[in-house]
Amino acid sequence: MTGGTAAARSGADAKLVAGSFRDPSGGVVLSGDRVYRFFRPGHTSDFSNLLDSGLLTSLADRSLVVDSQVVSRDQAPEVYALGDVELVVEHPRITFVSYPYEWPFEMLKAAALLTLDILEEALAAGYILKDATPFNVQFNGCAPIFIDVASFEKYEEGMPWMAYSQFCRTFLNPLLLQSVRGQPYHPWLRGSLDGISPEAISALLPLRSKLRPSILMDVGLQAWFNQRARKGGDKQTSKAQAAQRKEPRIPKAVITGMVNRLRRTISGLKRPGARLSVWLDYEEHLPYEREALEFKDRFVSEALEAAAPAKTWDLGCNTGRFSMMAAERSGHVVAMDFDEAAVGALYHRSRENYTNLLPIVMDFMNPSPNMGWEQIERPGLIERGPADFGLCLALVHHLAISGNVPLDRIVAWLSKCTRAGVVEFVPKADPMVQTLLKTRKDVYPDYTPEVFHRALESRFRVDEAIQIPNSERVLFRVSA
Amino acid sequence: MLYIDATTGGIGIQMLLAGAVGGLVTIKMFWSNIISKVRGQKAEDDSPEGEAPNVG
Repeated sequence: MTGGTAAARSGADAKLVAGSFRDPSGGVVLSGDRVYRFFRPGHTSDFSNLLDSGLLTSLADRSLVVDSQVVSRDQAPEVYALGDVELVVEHPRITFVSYPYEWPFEMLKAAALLTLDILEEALAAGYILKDATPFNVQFNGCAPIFIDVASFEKYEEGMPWMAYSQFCRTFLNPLLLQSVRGQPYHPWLRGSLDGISPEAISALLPLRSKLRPSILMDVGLQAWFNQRARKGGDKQTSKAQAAQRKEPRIPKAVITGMVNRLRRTISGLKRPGARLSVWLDYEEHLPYEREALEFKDRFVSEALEAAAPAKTWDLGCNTGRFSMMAAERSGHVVAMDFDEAAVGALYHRSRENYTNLLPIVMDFMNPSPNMGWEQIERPGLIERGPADFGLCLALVHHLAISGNVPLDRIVAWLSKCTRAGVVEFVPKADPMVQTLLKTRKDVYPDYTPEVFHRALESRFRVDEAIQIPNSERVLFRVSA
Repeated sequence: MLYIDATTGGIGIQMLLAGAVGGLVTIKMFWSNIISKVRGQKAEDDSPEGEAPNVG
């Protein structure tokens, strides 16, 4: 955490983060490029006690939970000026906020295991997590980090883990859907921010999976309880409410047992099929001659070095050859591709070596929209940009020919994503485009490098346009 | 709109597990009482008259 002076920041506007409105104890605000969490009067002592307990420091020291530094009225006057604010802490800023419906299987799994690890440590220290959703986790590169420090509450002997159902809906059930049924959870999680209900996943799982003891408990039995409560109508509802009012005494050992069972179940879930290994071998079968590939590498590398961008987006990253190159030459890279298995492969390739590379799943024909409450709670892709530098390599032909998007509209979209970058145009004669045209009528008379060049000039300054040797592909270097 | 809270099933499972743990503890205590009574009886039968059974 570094400090500008209060005077330097006194003009900054503190704005409540759109997704931070549910917790009555406080909220998260952005002020310039700084992130603060505030606590309202009456909720300060709980958080101060948590800070004094050493639990947060211990978790933050291992980068499991985001760091929290108390800031005074002098250090963040604009936050205290919001009113109804008693305590403010500053968190380091997450460069790019991503969401579970954008994470490949491996990342949702990592976020789930992190949540369970933190819950286990919290229970040992006399705390519990009052919610357990992937929206409480962000990624620094491929490393998950828990960001909702207001989620910790004092554990009192006998209290249940109220967030258990939420954990199952938002972590366990989506992972089961993909691992057991082979269906990616992304469209489902995008359609339902509250996750997949036990009843829904129970209806989809095959009997032999449902009979596994852990799944029987976390899916089947939970679905049965919910259905029973629903069928019982008012009578069952009032019985359930009466039971909850009586504050059931749940031994801590039951909760720790559930945490261990969930950890075992989730650790054992694997990405289905062999597609990941296909992508991991992809680099060996690139549709380029060696000389052409070396030329493209050099061109992209030099453009990145000249721009030295803070934030780069690799649009259509595939397994991340150029994302990793960008990670060595820019502050932070978000690598995006619609193919979930390719993004999963990039996660495996990059997580050990690149702490500034975030791989996410993104279909540019239907990117993440603004969602949630008032349609601002979870911002869409464009709202989280633009990047300083964009790589758009071997993507335009997919958008133009598979997606039927006119070239000028592709360029207009690009200009919303990034201020500058390298764009590759793959002409009709290229074998990859010919493959796309095999199954469709050629209704793309304007699909030419010249038309694309003119479209780029309408939104960017074209600094360089050069044909790749032994290829008809053209690379454009553009800036604002 | 539904009036059943989404946490209902989760709480139900925890209550069930708590009941099972409680039941197991009760059975264990009941069983160990029987065992200790049987052992106590046996020790009493085996020990010489008037001498305390050796339980150490």
